[in-house]
Amino acid sequence: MGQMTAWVSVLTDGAKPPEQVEEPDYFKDLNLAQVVSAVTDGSDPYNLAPLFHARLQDQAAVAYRQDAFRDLGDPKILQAAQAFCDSMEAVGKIVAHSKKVTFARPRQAWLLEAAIRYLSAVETFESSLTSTEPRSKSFATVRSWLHDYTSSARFVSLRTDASTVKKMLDSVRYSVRIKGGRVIVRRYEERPDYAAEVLGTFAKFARSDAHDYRVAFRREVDMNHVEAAIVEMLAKLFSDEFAALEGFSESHASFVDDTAARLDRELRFYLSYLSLARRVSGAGLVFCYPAVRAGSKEVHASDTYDLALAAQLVSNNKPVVTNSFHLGGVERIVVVSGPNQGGKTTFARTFGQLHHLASLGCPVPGSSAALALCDNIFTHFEREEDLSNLTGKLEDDLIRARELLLKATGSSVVIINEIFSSTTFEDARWLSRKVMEKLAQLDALAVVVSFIDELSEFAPSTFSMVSTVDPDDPAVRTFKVQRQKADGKAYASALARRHRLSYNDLVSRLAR
Amino acid sequence: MKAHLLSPDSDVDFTIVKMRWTYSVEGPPLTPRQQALIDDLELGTLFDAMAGGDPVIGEISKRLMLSEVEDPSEILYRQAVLGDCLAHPEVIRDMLAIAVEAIDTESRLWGGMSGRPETVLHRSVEALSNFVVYLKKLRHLADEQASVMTSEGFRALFAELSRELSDDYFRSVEDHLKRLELKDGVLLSARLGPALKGSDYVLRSPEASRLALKERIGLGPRTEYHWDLPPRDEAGGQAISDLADRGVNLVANAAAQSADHIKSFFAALWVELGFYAGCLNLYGALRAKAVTVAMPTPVAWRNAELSWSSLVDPCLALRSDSPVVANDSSDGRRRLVIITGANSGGKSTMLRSVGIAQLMMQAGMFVAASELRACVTSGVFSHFIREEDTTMTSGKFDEELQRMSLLADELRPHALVLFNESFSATNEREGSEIATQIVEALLDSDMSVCFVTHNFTFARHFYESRRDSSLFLRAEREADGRRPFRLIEAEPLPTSFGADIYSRLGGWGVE
Repeated sequence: MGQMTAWVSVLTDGAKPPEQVEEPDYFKDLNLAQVVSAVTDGSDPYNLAPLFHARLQDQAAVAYRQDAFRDLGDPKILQAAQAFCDSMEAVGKIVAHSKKVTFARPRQAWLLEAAIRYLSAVETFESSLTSTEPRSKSFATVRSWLHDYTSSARFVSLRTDASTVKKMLDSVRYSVRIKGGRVIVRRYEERPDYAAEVLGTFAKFARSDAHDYRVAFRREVDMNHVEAAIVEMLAKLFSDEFAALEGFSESHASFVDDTAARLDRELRFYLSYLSLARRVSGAGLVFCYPAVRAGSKEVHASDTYDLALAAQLVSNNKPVVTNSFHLGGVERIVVVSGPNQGGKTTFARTFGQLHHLASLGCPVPGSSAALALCDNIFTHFEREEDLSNLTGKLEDDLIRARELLLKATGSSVVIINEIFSSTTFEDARWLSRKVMEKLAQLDALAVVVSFIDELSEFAPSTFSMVSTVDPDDPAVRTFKVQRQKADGKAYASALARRHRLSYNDLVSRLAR
Repeated sequence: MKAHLLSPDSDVDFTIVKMRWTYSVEGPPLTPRQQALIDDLELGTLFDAMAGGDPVIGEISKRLMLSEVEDPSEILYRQAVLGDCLAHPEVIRDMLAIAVEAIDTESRLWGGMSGRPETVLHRSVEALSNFVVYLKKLRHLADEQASVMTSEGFRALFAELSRELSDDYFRSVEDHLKRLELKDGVLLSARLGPALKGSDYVLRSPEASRLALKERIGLGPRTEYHWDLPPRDEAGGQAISDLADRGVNLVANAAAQSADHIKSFFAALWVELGFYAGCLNLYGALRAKAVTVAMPTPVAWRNAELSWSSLVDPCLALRSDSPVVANDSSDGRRRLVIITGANSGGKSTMLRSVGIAQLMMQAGMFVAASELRACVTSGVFSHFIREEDTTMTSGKFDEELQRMSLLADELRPHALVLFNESFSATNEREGSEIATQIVEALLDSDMSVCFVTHNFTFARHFYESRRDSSLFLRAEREADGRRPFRLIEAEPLPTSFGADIYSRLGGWGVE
């Protein structure tokens, strides 16, 4: 090896990346648990969730990952990383499988197969990264590590041995003749293909859509004893080839390098997130790299959306509504009101999700964004259960609110969604004002969803956003949350526009 | 080898399948457009007449009538074949019988096409032997009838039958069928696949091999090893036959596919001849009602021509006991037909007559008129007011727009869109605004429109802006209130149909 590299990681500069096994408290409320499950495909065989739970605490760490994500925007680098991870997964499966095989010769052959795939995974990754121009420190580190590793003696001897043995086995061709209970094995001698002769005779009737009548044979994991007997006969007919295989399996029993295995997992952090992003982007939604600053109060996002909801809507081919927000100057608290089912909760979740995702170093939903690197995120969502006991519910609400407000600091992000709905309006207003007072005092960034719209004029730091309806048809929710409302028009033409049947709409639809 | 009686070079997207004891047509489900055409144009009557009691022919006719041919020369190609059929109906019926019987006898053979490859092979050899019988009959018929058919479609088919199905060919097929019994065991070639499992198995033409003398007496290097199945080793016996199956699999597949291909040939023949048999049935039924039929003249889209003489709605004619009123039009180039006028004045019938004639022409059929010239469209679409909707007005209007929006997703340039009282589930001003925008958009997108409407504002707009490229038809009522069902070419008039309805309902004693 060349120079010693301290610690090779694509996630953190020269150190082990932070991991957090437990889900953060706000994960369920913000539907981030759904996002992680969509990202990790549910079963999470590589245990990526702890990486998605752990927020980064400084801007440089965020930048390290954003740079790596940006590099993966280069299709060549992305493809290289994806191919490497896919191949490593296949290698792992084959190695695991080989350990279960009974007969010795096939077991040796499985190990050889795994080693060949491993070699090609590493070499392909090395050569494809060499032909790219990674800008991130992350991928530059990987590239130089790959360069050193592929020229190491250990790697070279593995390669030489594997290809020699493989070539020998590939050249084996034989024939099997079966008549009654006797199986005769010979070296192969050329004879015509019988099925081709039959097809040729009836070729004049051939159509393109031939049904496949081949019976699908079960793929047995283990060889049966007849196949094993055939292999033993072949081992006599082709003794050099089989001896070479045995030698290989003895000298290269465990061939996967530790760093390679670790990089495989870490790369999946990026790839799995990008794969979700790609799925969502297919529906015309965009992601951006947010400016992330610690202690910043100037936050905004354009054309953003709830990633969990978007993932779900996109897979059902349903449209996703985007929203924008901007907190400038003294503004700290967004008060969201408006008709129910109009997208208020979704808007609140989006605000929280953006801050979590940004602090992982991930690109976030939206066309542009600036977000705060917060010390924590706190959420208070109404709990669906316990509706029978309203007094208990109010008390529970207050306990949770208190806990939250005592822990939150000026660098926190707070999301409060429709609390105190179990009490009288007067009560709720009074309690809510108390909450607002505390939030204003903390100077924390917050989104408060409330039916008490006067809260939006509570302080200079608050402002109002409203979930809107179609101005032409109050029955239709737009799921847009905006600072202003619009006025109504005639019902019929609103419907026509809704169906995209106005002259201009229709002409452009028909022109496709 | 293909029949090509419908088109020199394309195939239909459906085929004939047997379900239990009866045959039916299997293909993609009818599209919403096709289903709407059947309902709106009341095409069921027409398909019944074409079926003439044979549901398969009815189904074939339905699918072909609802799949408009877009190339004028292909329409003429079918018209020529149909001409041969009308002149020699017995030849068509004989050929159709051969195709049907070939498929039916094959379907009655024992054994399945799944399970072990050996079973598949055996069944396929039987099927191939059966088909050979009917291929010979077909060749014979072609030899006899070749001289009487004049259309390009029939001449090509008969020529191909005598060229491809020679006596020599039949001899070589029969020879093959004998060898496929595999009396001498199987010989496979193979390579080492993953984990040393045999792979790339290929069945080879068998040949007995003899070992060199030295090896037989144990002196030379060994080139062959064998292994014998121990007695009572059932698992081993299974493993051996599985291995043999891997080779037989390929040849069984080849034989089965060959049988399928020949079956498809007969099925395609069934479909194509079935369609013409349907046309013959319809011809008979219309003639029995004294309806005039003629081959229409398809013209290229850019000509914009549309005109007719003695045009009737064939479905109405087939259902009616008395003669139906026939309509004429002037000659002209037009993309828009607007039909206005009195209720029950024959407006919808006129609209249906045009739609059905267009479909029949684009299926290569005759039409129920003495003359018809029309552009070849990319497809016929219908948007009719749905009587069954009894929801509140706003919901009904919404439904109309929704249906229009679905149509818009499918429409392509050169489409013909038929509207019947569309966008009337709102007030006249709004209805006319929306309908005008939609129709203007369609016309400007190179489509044509035939619209039955009560909306005077809407009709007037087009009378003023597009009079020269449109045809305005009006349903008249005579002074005594009796309607002639015959439409005249005339400008739209502001009609008050409230009086109509009032009198239809019998009024309530207020004049």
